[in-house]
Amino acid sequence: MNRRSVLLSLALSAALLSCAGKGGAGAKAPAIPDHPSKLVYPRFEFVPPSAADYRVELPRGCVAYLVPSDELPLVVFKAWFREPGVGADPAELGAQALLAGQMRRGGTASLSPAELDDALEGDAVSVGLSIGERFSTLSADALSDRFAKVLPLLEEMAHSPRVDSARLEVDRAAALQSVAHRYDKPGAVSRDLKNAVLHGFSQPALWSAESADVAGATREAILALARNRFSPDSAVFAVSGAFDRAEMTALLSKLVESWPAAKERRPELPETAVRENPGVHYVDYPSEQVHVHMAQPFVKRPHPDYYAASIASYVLGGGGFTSRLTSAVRVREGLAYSVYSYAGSSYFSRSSAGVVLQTSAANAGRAVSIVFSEIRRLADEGPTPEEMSLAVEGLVNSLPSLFDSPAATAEALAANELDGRSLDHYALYPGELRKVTAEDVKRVVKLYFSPEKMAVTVVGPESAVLPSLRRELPGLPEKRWTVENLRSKTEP
Amino acid sequence: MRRAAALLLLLHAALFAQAPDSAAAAPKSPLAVERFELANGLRVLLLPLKRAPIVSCRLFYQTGSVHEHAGNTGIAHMLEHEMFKGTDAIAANELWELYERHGGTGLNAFTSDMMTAYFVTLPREKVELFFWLESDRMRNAKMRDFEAEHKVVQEERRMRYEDSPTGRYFETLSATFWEGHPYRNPTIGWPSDIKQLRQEQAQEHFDRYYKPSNAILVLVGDFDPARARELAERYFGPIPAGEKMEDLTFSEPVQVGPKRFAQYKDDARPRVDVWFHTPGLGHPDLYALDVAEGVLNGRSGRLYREMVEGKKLATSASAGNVVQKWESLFEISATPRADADPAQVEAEIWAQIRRLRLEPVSERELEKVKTQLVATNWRSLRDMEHVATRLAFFEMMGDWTLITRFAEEVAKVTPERVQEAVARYLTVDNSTTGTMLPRSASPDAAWEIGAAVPGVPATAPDAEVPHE
Repeated sequence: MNRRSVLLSLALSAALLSCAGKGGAGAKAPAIPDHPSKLVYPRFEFVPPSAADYRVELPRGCVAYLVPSDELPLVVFKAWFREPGVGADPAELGAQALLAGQMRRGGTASLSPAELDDALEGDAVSVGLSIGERFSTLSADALSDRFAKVLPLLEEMAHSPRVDSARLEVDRAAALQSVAHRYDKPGAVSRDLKNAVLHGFSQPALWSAESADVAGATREAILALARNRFSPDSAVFAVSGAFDRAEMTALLSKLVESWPAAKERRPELPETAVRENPGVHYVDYPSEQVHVHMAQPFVKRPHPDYYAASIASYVLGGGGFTSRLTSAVRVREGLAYSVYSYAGSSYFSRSSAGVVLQTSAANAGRAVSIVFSEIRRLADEGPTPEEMSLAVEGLVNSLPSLFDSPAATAEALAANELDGRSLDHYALYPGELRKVTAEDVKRVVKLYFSPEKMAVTVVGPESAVLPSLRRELPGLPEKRWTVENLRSKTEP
Repeated sequence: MRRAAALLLLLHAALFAQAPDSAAAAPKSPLAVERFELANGLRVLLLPLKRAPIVSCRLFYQTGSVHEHAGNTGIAHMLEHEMFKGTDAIAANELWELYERHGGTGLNAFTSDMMTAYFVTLPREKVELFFWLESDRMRNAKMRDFEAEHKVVQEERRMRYEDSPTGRYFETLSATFWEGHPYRNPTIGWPSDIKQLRQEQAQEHFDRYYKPSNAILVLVGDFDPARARELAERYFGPIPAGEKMEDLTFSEPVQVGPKRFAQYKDDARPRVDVWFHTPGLGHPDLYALDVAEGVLNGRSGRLYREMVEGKKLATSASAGNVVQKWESLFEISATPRADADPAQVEAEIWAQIRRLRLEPVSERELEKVKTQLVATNWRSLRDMEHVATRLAFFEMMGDWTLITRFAEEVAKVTPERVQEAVARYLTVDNSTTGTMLPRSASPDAAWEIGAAVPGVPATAPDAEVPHE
């Protein structure tokens, strides 16, 4: 909450108290209207936190969003490091799968794994690390009176991992077990099948490590991958909790000045390629429910169609029970517990737009047919004025929930910085949504939710699914995939 | 104590509006939760927090699967779905539209063994909408579109149980553990019961349990308590109290010997679970079991050190002191390594229990566990919706301020009390052991493979155990 919203908040509280005072003993309470649409609410316009109020520039191009709050005696810390290129080389898949765990559990140059565990858990410090293809992250939360001890530990974990051999073998056994059971749930097969169908297998950054990768990852390979990680240049920090802003600024400045720079940086990964791949792509899987994912390429942000597609998705299936797909597939027909649409948001690559549902095997064709029918109806007729209003107001009015705690505020502002958006992005967001017209929505539905362009991935028992799909949607091309295709990264 | 930990320090907390520049000081004043009851018995808990201009609004009914019996299991959950089908004034699913239009987020409901909850987070100026809609459906809910929603619930069961690798395993383990207590009923209901649920049963459940004297309303967030009290009186005050509900009188019989359950699956990710009966919330031994849980857990805890790292028997292991209203349970779980003998894993679990019983926990372990407990409790206050649920949970236990005694009680736990509690509850006769193992580990596997009968598959056909 920034100064302006604090002031507004105080003003409203004062107004409410004033009303309560007038309505004291003997005052008649207002009548209850016969419908909630007749309720009259106090006027209030949400002003999102201003990034500038919390933004601090640090040495070496780093930026921190500091949200002090003495509400709880905790400090929540997260840092994003711009580290391109992890995942470009398939030979590193195993090391990549094990690296973050080893940084937390494998000890440091000066601390054995057991000593590191004891130091962190003795002070109740919760630490998280991730190694991503574009960012790596380091996070910690701790009691505020112990936070000063945390940063040196994080520094050691990030820059001097020991990768203890015994701990490595413990982690390797767990990772191998996870890989072996990766596809125990149909949802996991569905997720990877959708990625394979839309992205193909030419981009190692999208691959998951397999048993051979994990089994073959050596300590040396893990240490090599760790080198040059967590270089503070252009890092973004989000810190919230019980601290003094000036002191935290000094602490972080010292941190980024002392951390070693990367001696060599990997080249940026190319954008993730995404393709149209229409037709039915299925995996025969012994589940009770069929997992269906209909998807096609969408846009890379910023893009002029993004907000119209957001509203289109809200009307179609993103707006919960008010959306058309939920009304038709779940409420009217009772075919699915979960059905929704989405329009992806990425500033680094084109993402996808689509519809996801689960239903019983015999109903798969009926459910997909209804989805296609509703998409075509929205593309032909466009949204009603009521749907437009509900989507825009629903999205605009839910904005405050993005900032519902100091940690959430710090992370939302940091995410804004990482995506390269303007500092006033959240303030401009309502206006962007309100510019969208019903015609815009019709147009983007045709472009990004097209049954003719969508890949329909289906995971479930083939003997029940295919007759159902063929009956309802005759003529759709079919391609049979297997879990082995997903593991071996080969198309059928 | 996982659940109790959530709000342990509420009374000791100091919550202040965010100040952009500086906030280095420790909490300064006690947190004020305002609690009152309307004349009709509705309990209201108000917790003002000025973090953001939103309010987490929740209405809880004290009913769930503990109020069901063979033949109607799942009805509390089915009713939860039906509660979105409107009233005389509100059309089916219009409630969602009204909440969403006014910025409602986190809109949902859930049913558990002891409660059914309806919740939404609203912009602060829209809180009256919650009072209007919830007071309306407490009185006037209509059971509409039952047939379609009935199918939806069956899909939900397929998703959560039939297609989950451990869905049926835990359902069966729980029903083995609880011999008579209604905790043995899965909240979603047994499959045959779900299929036979009728609209009239939902209406009966609604008439019996959905009334002010059986409900708790919680607001957490940026609101004026005086105004909230006035809204509660205005909207809920006129609703008749309804018949007072009696508490459950059933007690789980004392277990007379160890129980076991094993599930064998071709693709099983092996696991071993050992559960023990423990008393309901409020019993002093539970605080000692909280400490036992902490000593066993974490990377520096005994289970990881001994089972995962030392003897390399498991890829993960953990303990949980699961505290519930009427009866509770303590659980220890492990995921055996692919090359480990599950019997050895089980033996090591018992070795760790024996050690807890025979050796006092060290000072370092005790200090670590207490520090972690304090931090966990503070962390649990970060999320307003979580805080709201915790307030209602403990209020349902009898009194939300029960949680404040927890901090003092845990601080008083000594190594000797840990030993005593472990000796009292973590015993063989009080245990139920569940194992999920590959089919090749089944005692029948050798027979099935080696003794083919003409015309009958050598191994059990898949159809015998559907979808596994």
